[in-house]
Amino acid sequence: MEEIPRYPGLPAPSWLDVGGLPTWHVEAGSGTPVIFVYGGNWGTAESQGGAYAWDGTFAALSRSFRTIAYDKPGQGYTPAPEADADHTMGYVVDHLLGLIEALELPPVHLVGHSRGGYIVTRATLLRPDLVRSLTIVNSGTLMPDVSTNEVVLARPPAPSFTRESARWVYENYCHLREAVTDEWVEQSYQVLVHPAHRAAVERIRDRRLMATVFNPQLARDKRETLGWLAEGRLQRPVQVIWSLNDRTARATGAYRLLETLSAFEPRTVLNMVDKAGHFPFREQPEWFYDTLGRFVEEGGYDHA
Amino acid sequence: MHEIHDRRLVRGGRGQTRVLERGEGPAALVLLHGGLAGQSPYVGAAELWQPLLDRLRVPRVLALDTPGVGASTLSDFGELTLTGTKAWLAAMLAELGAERVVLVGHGEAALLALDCARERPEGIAVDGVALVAGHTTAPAVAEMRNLTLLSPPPRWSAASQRWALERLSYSAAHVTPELVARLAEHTADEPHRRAAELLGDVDTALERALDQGGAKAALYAHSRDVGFETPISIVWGAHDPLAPVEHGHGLFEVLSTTRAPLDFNVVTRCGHFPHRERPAEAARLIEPFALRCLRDG
Repeated sequence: MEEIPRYPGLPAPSWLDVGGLPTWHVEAGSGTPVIFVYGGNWGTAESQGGAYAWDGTFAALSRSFRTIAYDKPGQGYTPAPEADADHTMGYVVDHLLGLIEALELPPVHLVGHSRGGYIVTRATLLRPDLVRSLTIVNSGTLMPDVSTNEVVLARPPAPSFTRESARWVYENYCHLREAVTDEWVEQSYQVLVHPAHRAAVERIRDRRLMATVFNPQLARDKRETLGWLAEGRLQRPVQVIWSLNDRTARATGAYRLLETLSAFEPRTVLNMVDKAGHFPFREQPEWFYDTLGRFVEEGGYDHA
Repeated sequence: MHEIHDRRLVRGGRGQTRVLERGEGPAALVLLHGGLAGQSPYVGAAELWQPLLDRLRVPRVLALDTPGVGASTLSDFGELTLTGTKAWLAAMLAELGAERVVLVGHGEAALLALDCARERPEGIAVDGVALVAGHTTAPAVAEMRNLTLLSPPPRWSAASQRWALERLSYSAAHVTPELVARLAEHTADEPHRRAAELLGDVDTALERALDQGGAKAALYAHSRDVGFETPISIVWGAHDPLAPVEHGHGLFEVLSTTRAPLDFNVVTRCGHFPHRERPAEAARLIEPFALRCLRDG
């Protein structure tokens, strides 16, 4: 059998069947489960996310929790869904819920970054019975304000599917360029040039699935999600973590999000760090581990 | 009310100071209460820190009555200025053997804590500063007058203590009869009466206001021209009637010229007293910050 691709900073992975989709995932530690959901989406040719994004956080929290990281459909080493119609954020959200059920987990702490912040929020709204708490990190996708990714990351100067393009993207996302290490770039690059990923990107481009399926459905669902938040349907403790120097998901968005969430949920807090851009968990790792660790230590919503 | 930890009077500088204390060692978290002795409608005093004092798991924590409060004597007006208060603090830390400190300043004392981090006066080795609802440090020159405490009951009465604490809080559950009685007792203490007498003089009160304003200008100039080198953590109540979150964020941006760690934390459903209204939350934020500061020195 083909060897499962690995990320150097994470434990040995295994495949998990989630609704028929072979899903790359890793686990470590014991105790209450904490699941990490990274950002980005399928179909990108300049850089590509993967569970590797969480390596430091994963290791730090696995000392006290059962930590779980996985590759989202069409990202990292998990294949994209086969049907065109499944190329939606709704599919990615359902896949996360399917993963929790496939692992037969008790209620979990969810941690989502960027697009992952939207995913964990939507998942909690759909299935609160599976969730103890959620942590939303620099999520332009979820915040009500304008996200400026398309401005900051417009027209990368380096060719697609190269280390240079991956480095350029992360250096523009981050405030601390020294946080963008060769190891980080290399892991993104290895995913980018993986044959299955390249084939998925080409298919998504050829069939224009972002413009015709993914983006319109996300736009509809985001409106619905923000409506649900404004109705007070999110009833789990929430930690909003943000960075002062994020040029793509600016700090003002964090305050508007906090205002909406805290109107209904008593256990809501905002933690914002200086000298970090879009990746506070990689740019200010120790602060991030402490901030996240202390929050989940409190246990979240008690399902007992 | 919780039992007060080891409480003692310590002689140092020009008089004596009341100290609440837990733990031991040369590295300490030092809690500095808010309010201005003799002026603020509520008496800021060390016991206001009690809910946080009970929760912080750090090697040593000290809460001090500043000069003119509780049993901490006040010799003259000089001790009410920033310069005088810093001299008093240096003397106290020497007496208490606190060689390295993380200063936690509430309300008005946030300015004192930042002033120590800026000036690094001899005898105060500041490893970190936590600002809790530091409304007087935030940029707000063009703001409208704050009317939260416009029409108080007769000053220094128990009713006025309750009135002020309740109006400054989002949830008044922490304003217990025992606390109100205790603060009302403090208004009758000799140090407080002395402070109130001194500041009853219009010129003296103006002098103090100018002193506070000068310290604020020094803070902003330092941030602009030099930048701090001490880790700073800001904790803000989402419903602080004295300063909305925007003011706290303004302070966060002012301080972001720092070369040291800096963060800003908003505690929801909370007014001017995060350490009393949401003590578990305040401890969860301040404790890891303090431990990192004391470890890194």
